[in-house]
Amino acid sequence: MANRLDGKVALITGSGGALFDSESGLGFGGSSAFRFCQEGATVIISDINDDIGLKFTKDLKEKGFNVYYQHLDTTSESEWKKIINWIEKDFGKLDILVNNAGIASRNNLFDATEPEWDKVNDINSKGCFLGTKFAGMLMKKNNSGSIINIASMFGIIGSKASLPYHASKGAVISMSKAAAIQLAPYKIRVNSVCPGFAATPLNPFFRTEPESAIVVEKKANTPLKGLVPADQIAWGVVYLASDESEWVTGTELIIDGGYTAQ
Amino acid sequence: MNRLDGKIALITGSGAETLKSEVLGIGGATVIEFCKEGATVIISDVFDKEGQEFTSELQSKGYDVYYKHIDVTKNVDWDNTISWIEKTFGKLDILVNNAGISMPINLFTTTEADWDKTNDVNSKGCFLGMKTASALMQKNNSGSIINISSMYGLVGSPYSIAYHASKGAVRLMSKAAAVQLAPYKIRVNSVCPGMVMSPMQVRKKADISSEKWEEFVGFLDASPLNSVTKTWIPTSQIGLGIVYLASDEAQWVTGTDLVIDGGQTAQ
Repeated sequence: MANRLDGKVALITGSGGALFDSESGLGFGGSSAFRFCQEGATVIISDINDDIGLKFTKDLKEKGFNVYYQHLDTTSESEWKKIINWIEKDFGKLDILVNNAGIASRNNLFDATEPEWDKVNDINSKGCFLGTKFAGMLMKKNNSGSIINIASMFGIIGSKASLPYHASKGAVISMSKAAAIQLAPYKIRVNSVCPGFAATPLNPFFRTEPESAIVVEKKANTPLKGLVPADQIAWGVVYLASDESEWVTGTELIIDGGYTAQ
Repeated sequence: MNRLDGKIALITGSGAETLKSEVLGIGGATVIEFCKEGATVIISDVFDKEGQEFTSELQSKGYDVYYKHIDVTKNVDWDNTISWIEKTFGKLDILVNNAGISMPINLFTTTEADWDKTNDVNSKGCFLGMKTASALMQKNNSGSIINISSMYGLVGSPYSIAYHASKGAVRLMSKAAAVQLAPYKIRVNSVCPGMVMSPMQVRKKADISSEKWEEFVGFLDASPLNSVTKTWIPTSQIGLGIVYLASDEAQWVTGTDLVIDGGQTAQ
């Protein structure tokens, strides 16, 4: 426990999809919410799974943390306007936005369909644009802020599958750099985090079927031999959110056990 | 704070300034952040007088610090220090290969001697450090090595051809070492600073006319954040990035670059 985020107000999207005792474990959003709380931040948890999100928020409140829940479909401009207005009214500022909400897609170039493309890019890419835009508008008023976009090592390299996912995560990395330049005049920083293969609710079988050929292969191909714990992503997000990284902007923090170094 | 409690850390090129200096270099600033987080720190440099003074200053503040002479280009210096660390502490958790030099000369004005010196200190020094330190870290099946590269290991500039080469070498040898040391759970990463307020800038300010200094300040416009604040990046910010990579918070971060450049290379 420490105070690296004391007094900061943070919004984390897609952070209410799992509970502490979920079989899948917490995702990047939930893990980040927990570490943010421990570091003294006020955290607004948001998701489309309101039942789980409200329960997770209650669990954190019972630990004595300062947390709130708000419904947020990141693909909806009107919902972004609503939540940012609520944050401005209730807290007067927003210090940190973590654009974490995302979905997976496993199909390759020939199997991926137009609806699948649209859905993945709507959530992973357009959701990140809308969040950066509306949160950036509030952060501007305070001349300060840190936006962390959850990309993926699959935004840097290719693979045999997941074509729409690769596209969406590449978009996140590039738009983060553009936003970093466009928001620098307001001292708002924008960075991406690129996780490697991780056990999260997005890939529940990583945890439930650890002996399956696909999981064994992913672990073996990672130099540190294993899956990245969601909590490790959370610590990277804490670093980028804190004042320790006041000069870090427009870059990627890769947390992949060395996968993309090969 | 206690993010590095119980860890033994060696930082090269960290003793050239003292607390009386106008600014600390990246090495010295990192020593201070490491001390604050509870680490035992071995300060090393070729400037023994300043290094020993810096070490006594920190000892009098109650920090657990030691000084050792290391010329990073000399294998024997590395062997001596690593043996001493093993004998004294029984382990080494963190190595920061920070010692480095730069010369403001381009492709045409760089001599073979300039090339050799720059690459000896910046690149070969990093190799020797990783090799000797990881031999000790291997015994403990754990460790974090942080190599100070530069944004000039990522992009080109009108200056310092040998510096660019040496810092590019640091980034790539870090990736190779990350893969080769992963079986021993030793992590290797680079840090790529942008325009930093280093002792070199302070010396420059003292050396050049105010008119030329104004022109020099104009370089800050090349970076999105530096152009807004009209300041260089404080070395403590690089130190805090190194703390993250050195700590167990970054247990799955290896073979990558942490770029701390105010957005300069994002353009």
